[in-house]
Amino acid sequence: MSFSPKRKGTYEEILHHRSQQSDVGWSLRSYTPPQYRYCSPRRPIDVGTAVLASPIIRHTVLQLSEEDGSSVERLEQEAEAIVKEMGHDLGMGAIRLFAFVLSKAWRRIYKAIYVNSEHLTKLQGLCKDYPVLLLPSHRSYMDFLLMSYVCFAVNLPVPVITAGADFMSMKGVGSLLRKSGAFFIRRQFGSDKLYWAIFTEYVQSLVRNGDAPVEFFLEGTRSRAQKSMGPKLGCLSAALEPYFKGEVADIYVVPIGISYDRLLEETLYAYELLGVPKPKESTSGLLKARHVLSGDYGNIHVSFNAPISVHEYFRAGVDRSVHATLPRYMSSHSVEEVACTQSLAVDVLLQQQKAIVLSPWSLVAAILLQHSQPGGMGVAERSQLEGVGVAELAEEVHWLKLQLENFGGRINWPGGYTTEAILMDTLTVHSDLVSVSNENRVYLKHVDDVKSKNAALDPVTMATAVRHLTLALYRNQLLHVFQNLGLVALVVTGSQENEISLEDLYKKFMFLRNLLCKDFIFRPCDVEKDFNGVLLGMKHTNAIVQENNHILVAPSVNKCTVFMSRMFEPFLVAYWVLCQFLLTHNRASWKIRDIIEGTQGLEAAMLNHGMLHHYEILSLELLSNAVNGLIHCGAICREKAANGNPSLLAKPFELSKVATEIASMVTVPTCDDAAAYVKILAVPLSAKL
Amino acid sequence: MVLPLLKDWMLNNFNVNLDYVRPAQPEFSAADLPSPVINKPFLEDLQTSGLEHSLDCHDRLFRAHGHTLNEIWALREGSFNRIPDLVAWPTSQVEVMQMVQLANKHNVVIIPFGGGTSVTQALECPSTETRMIISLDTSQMHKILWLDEENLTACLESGVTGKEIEQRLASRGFCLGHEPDSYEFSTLGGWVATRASGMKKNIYGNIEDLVVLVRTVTTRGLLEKSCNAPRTSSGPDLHHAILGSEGTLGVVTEVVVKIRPLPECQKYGSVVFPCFQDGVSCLREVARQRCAPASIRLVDNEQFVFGQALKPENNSLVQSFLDGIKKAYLTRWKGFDINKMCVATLVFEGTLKEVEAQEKRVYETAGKFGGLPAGEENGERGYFLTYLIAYIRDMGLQYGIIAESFETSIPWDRVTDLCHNVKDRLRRECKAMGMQHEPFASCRVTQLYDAGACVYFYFAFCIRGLSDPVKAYEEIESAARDEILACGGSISHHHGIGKIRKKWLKQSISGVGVDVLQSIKRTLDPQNIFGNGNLFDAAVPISKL
Repeated sequence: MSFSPKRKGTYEEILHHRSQQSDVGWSLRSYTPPQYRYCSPRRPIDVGTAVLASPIIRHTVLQLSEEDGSSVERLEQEAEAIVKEMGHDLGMGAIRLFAFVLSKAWRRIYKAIYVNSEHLTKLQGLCKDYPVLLLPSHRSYMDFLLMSYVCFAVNLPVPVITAGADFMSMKGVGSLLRKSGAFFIRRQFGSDKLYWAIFTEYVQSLVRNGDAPVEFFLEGTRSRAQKSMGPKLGCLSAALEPYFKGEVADIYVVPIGISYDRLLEETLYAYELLGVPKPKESTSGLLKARHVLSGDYGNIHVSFNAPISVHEYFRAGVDRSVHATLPRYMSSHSVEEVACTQSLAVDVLLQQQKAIVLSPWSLVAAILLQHSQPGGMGVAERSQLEGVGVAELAEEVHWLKLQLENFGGRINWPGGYTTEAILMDTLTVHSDLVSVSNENRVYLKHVDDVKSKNAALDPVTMATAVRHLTLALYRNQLLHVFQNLGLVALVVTGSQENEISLEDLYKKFMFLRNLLCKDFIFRPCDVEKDFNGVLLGMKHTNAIVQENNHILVAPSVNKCTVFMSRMFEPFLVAYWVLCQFLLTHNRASWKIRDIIEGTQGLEAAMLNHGMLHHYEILSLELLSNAVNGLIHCGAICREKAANGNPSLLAKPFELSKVATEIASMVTVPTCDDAAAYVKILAVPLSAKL
Repeated sequence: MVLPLLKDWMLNNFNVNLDYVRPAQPEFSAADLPSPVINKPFLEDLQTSGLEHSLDCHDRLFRAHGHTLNEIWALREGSFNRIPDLVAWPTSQVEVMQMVQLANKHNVVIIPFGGGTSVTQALECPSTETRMIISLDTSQMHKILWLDEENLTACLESGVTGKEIEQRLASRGFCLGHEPDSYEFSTLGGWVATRASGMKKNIYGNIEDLVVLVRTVTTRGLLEKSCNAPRTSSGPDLHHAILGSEGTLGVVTEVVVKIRPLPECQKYGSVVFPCFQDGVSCLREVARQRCAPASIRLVDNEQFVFGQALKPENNSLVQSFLDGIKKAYLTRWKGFDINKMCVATLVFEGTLKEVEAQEKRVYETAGKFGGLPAGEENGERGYFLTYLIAYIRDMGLQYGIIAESFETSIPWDRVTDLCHNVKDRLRRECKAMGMQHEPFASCRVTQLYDAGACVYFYFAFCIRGLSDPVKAYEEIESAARDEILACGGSISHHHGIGKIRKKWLKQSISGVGVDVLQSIKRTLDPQNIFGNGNLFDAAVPISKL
């Protein structure tokens, strides 16, 4: 049977179904993408030259020279070196080579690459009139090769891409990536004014001249946890400045959601989240990764969302004429521009999420992680030992799919097949993680050969955690659909009363939104809208029962709310442990790293003693979000230590308030138990510090 | 005149149906016009004084409007709900003073009227005005009072038109050199009141550079300086309170201006550039070197093609242009894209030698930016087009095409972006209004300064299918002005504020700035006798009822 037809709704398959069957012919075909009307054509190397000659770089060099007395020549050499390190070298040769090689490689492992066509015609037209920014979600290394490949396939201009400088050092690969349009940005360049100036001017030069669409990842780095991360604004602000300064009439921003049925990096991510350091990108590492180039990785969906006109978006909120009295090279963003850029970034992330086509496997993963009873075994454990019946699982998957669709999620669910057939297909794709026995029972596979370089986690914990986190990655992909629903469900199922007033519900909902603001993408100004929207949805699906201005608790604790609250429970549990950790360690100031590692250790101890069951709470990304969420809520505050380094200050009163609030919604170990374990842990930790 | 190519151009650019004609309505009859508000005591005093005046409805209607699009539209297809109630023709400064005194005594509004070429609705009577409105027509004050050959100055009455000035000065061997596009009709007083700019300002200067002394009749008396000295330091220059006051402070009656001996030689020229950006870079370089000839203007590709459509002979557009260029250059033409190239038109003035030297320098500079000399004829036609454009607009209206122009000034580094962005905004707003066909959006750089340039936009679209074309136009122009300000351009280079740009004045000159203007207004005209409502809404006038 074929789950991957040539056309599915507005999606077209571009890998296997082409008018030109031969890869050579396709790679060498005539390719004439639209070009920006005011672009003066130039070679990649000319971009660098233009950047070095630009007023902003000349002024920055002079200013730096005046500030610290270094010679202009030396600074100019430095600038030249930076530009050389940064520069892309986009050429059709490399693009065609990639088109050929990737076609060969991908056809072996992917069933299909789907691209939605509904906005493509418009986008092709827009590329002629305005500079375009392509903003894909970032969940795999593959993203940027894939984006260039897709652009080539659908006759969009191939973008230039901001890439992390860590790729640059890969022998041979670095230059190949440059040739396919990548330009490299150092991960951290904090206060290096010259670097900052060159970086912004490089991006702006590309935007102003519209050489090619500029592609970058708003989240800054790959989201290893597979859910959107808060936007990093550096690149976006830089890219939008030409609009604010009136250098271009408009810029179009295209949110793109990319989803993979199966990630190339799934176990790698799980390890990374647990703190096993990421291997430095190296060519040999990539070659080793070649073994992944066999096997079944299912489908890829690339969803272009409607292009957003920056001009329309900012029209009401921004007065560009404030820049009229300063020379253009002087970088300045008005308060309104910063706020609007932030808001645009959040909207783009939300649009990416909306565009993403989920895999049925996300549903399976969510279910397998579920139903863990306090003190008992979850399906995850059970399925390791006794397995889950395919029919039982299919029923659950079907139910969850309905919920997903009710709340606006998009899922790859080919028509004309039974749920069981679709389930079996996705289980086949993920046969590394699950197996299906002859009795039609689904078993989770063991993780062998655990590499634990993290002293805090013993191999057994590590093995379970890796398995849990691998599943959690796929479950995380669908969380955005339920993020508001989940919060309401947490409040409702945790309630000890017979009814909750809408007012109280809203207050608690707000509390959770604030607390979880780093783990999920919310528009702060939409709290009320989201709240009312999700309540309406829940009422219509009978997930809650409302009478007058109250939610009746008993009928509202049902399959849906219980499932959803459990799905979000691990997040709150992790936050709670973190609060406990800080409350029992009385220290004047903290480094974020110490908090995270300490909490992870505490979690591991609690998991080993059976006090907690959610192994995914060991994720360092989650804990880092928790720290930042608590900062946002005012339970931790940032300050500068005496030596000038930033440090964190725990605020016990606020922390215990948060912990109590969390404990009222989810099951956590009783305070006595927790305190006992914390004491045990406290000794070696403080000794170590 | 026959313009055989114009219809083709219109068909191509607007997709107009030439069978579809919107005829102008028949002339207004007295019954179609608002009946005059009469202040009887004033009228009696006026009649006693013997000052020439008229209550005739066509005299009044003629002075109820300028040349702003909506005013022309009102004449052709609409109506007026407020027009002047009386027209007066003082013949001297003394008579103007009499008029103003009478008006002040009886609380009657005076709207000074020169050539009637305003394009900012500056002549429009405020519809909320309940007092009697007098249109003070300066056309009978058109004498050259004296001419001083030694100091190269002349004292002129304010109602004299540009054309008359040049004719009469020329007969004595002199010129003023101030040539706004409207100079056939516009008057010296109007130039002062709007801060006008002339085509040849590179040699002669703009109006503020040309005036030595200005006499203005205000309700408080005559505002003037005591001598004809070329420059004084005596506190803020009060000329600048009057320059650009747009008839809100008083009536300009007499002006002492600088004059120049007639140039020995005048010559047109033109240069083609591969693209607009190249042309702008060349103009910027010319300004940097301060070697601009009397006039230098760069028109974009759209206007270049349009210009070709206005040729009287009927051969192919491009071919006829090429004919004007020396054949030797043709081989170099490969680099030119007909859809991108643009042309700069030039006027040189001076002695034969000077002109020759200027030509050489300008063409050399142009060469550095890929520019090729394209002959005198093409240059001359470029300027001719300027005068023709108002007539063409009226013809366009007949076929349902609305056209208007607006201008701005902007620093050099933003000129090209401004042109691109504003044209884009025009196209975009038209599309948003559901227009099927792209508008004609075009621009030219018309004046060079050390720190920037003046940019002029032409804009036309087909109104078929629009319920309120004038309103649509106004919304689009308003959006375009927002875009101009966003790009760092000014509210106006020389058209002024009038009524159509009042909403941006505060943004342009700050709240404090508006207060300063308000206080000048309050001092000079506490009753708001000069109540045409231009620039800003004057603080509520003290009524003398």
